[in-house]
Amino acid sequence: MIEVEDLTFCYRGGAAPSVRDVSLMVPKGEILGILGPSGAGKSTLQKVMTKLLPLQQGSIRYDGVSIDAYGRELFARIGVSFEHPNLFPKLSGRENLTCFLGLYPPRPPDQREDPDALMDAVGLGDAKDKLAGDYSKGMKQRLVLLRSLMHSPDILFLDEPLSGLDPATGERVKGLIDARRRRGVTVILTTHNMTLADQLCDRVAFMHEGLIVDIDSPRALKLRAGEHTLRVEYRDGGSLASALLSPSSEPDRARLEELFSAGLVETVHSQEATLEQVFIQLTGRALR
Amino acid sequence: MSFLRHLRTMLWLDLRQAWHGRLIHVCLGIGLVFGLAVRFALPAQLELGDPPQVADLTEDGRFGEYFAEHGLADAGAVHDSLEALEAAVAADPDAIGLALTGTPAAPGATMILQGHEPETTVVALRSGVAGIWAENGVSRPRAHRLTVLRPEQPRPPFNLSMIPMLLTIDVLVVGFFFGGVMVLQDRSLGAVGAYRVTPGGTGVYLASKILVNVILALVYTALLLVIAPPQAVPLLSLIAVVCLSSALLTTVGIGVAVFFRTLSSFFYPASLISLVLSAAMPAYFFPAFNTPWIRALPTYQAMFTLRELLLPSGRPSTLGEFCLAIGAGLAVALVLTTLAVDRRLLREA
Repeated sequence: MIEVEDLTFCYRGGAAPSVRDVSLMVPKGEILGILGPSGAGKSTLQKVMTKLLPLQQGSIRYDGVSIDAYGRELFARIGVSFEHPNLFPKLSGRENLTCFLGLYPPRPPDQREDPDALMDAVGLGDAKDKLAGDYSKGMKQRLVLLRSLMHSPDILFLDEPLSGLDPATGERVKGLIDARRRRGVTVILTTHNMTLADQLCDRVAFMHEGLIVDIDSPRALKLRAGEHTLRVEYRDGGSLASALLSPSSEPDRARLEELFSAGLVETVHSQEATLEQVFIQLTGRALR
Repeated sequence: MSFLRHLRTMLWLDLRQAWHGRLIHVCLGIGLVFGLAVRFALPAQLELGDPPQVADLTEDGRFGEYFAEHGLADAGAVHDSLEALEAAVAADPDAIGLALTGTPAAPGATMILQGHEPETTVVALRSGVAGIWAENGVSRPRAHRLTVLRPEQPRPPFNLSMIPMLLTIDVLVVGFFFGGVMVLQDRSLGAVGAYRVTPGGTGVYLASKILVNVILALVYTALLLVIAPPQAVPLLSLIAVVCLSSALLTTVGIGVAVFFRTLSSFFYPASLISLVLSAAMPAYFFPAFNTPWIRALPTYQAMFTLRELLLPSGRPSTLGEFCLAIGAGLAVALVLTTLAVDRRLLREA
């Protein structure tokens, strides 16, 4: 369980705090997505939560223990993956995964991650012995993600884990993250990718100007803040026409009944608001 | 125990990085070139340069035979007038001229200099003139007398006398420069960012870099001394001096490098600091070049301690004083560099 209470952080010389009064609670095994445009405070929040920036105001507790009580051993519990790959280019992919392992407390053999299996799982099986410097951007991204998993952390902080990945590889990575969640790993995921957040996150926190403006499950956010519409395709003379109709609007409901009565309706699709639309509705600006 | 396990992990990684970054190649290359130069290129005895231009303008021409005995006539360095002597000196920017005049009762000499000669040359020339007159009939006391404090000690050959200086250069380059380069390479690769989120701390990070450079300095020292063996190799003392000097300069190099983001921005300040540290080198050839601040430089202390170890003159050992001074400097540098690495490298701004 991660508990953050009234967290505020201001950079030296900064006009306003980058993170303001943030409070959240993340139960074990949950994936929390933090969404927001650039400069919203997502990365700063993650850095304070990972002790890369000092705690100035507020509190952070991991399983009830204040972050102040942790030294560098905190990093044995958490895994951090970066958006910008930071690998050793002259070491092979496998060596990049294992080079820092000696810095972590030894684990029993049955709890150790197998670098080969992990690489196979994200489609790097054929590049295990290739130098990381020769990897493509997407391959490097996957390798950085895998390195954050190698010491079997309880908590994962992932920054844009699907950046630069094609859809098929993205699915594999999502599967890998989901598998960690099923094992009880808590995941804090920072992203611009609404599809990823929608599909993978149990809850999503929207950040804007350092504040968390809303936090809930993607579905609840969309239902609460979004407008529900139906896309109706119908025959109009010799051609096919479509219309967006809202079930909550009296004229739209009447139009829908009219189309059904006339037997003109070909297809009906429910139209949910996207997380992007919800964010715009909440903050008045786009996510990117 | 975990510190040692962490150190082993980082040491292996840093050694591999040093290999891939060609730092080990550079170190071995310099050791090989310097060793071969000492062994085969530098002479064991330094020959003097061109003889002085001279003229015997005494009334009885008493120096003609003397100049011939010393090969000056054969070298075409003897002139028969002051004008000819001046012309010969003016033609060669490195030449000095000496015209001997007068009689044994009233000996005289005129020295013709270019103007850029150091005072020590002028003093030596004055003494030389008195000596020449003394050898040629003037019964005054000699102007100089030579006393050797420890005549039983063999005079080191010129080529081997270069070894302490070459070892000091290595400690300077491998320690100060390589220490900084390793940190800035880590920074540019993002390895610092990756290390930040591991349980490895500042101490391990720093200790690993220092150890790599100490190992490189020892390898270089061994290579140089195997190719060009000096008069003595007191192994433990030598290892102590090389390790301490290398550790100190590596620590300083890292401490400076953390204030820069790129190798190019580090290059100029590093060159300036290297220049200051290199100010000890001229003192090896010109003993008068030893102002208090130069004597305080770790390179000065290392160089002369190494000289006494490898080419013993019989003077009392200064190893203890050296270890104490460099050890104290290392302790201070470690504290400051640890703080700098922790604040500027392993944490966000």
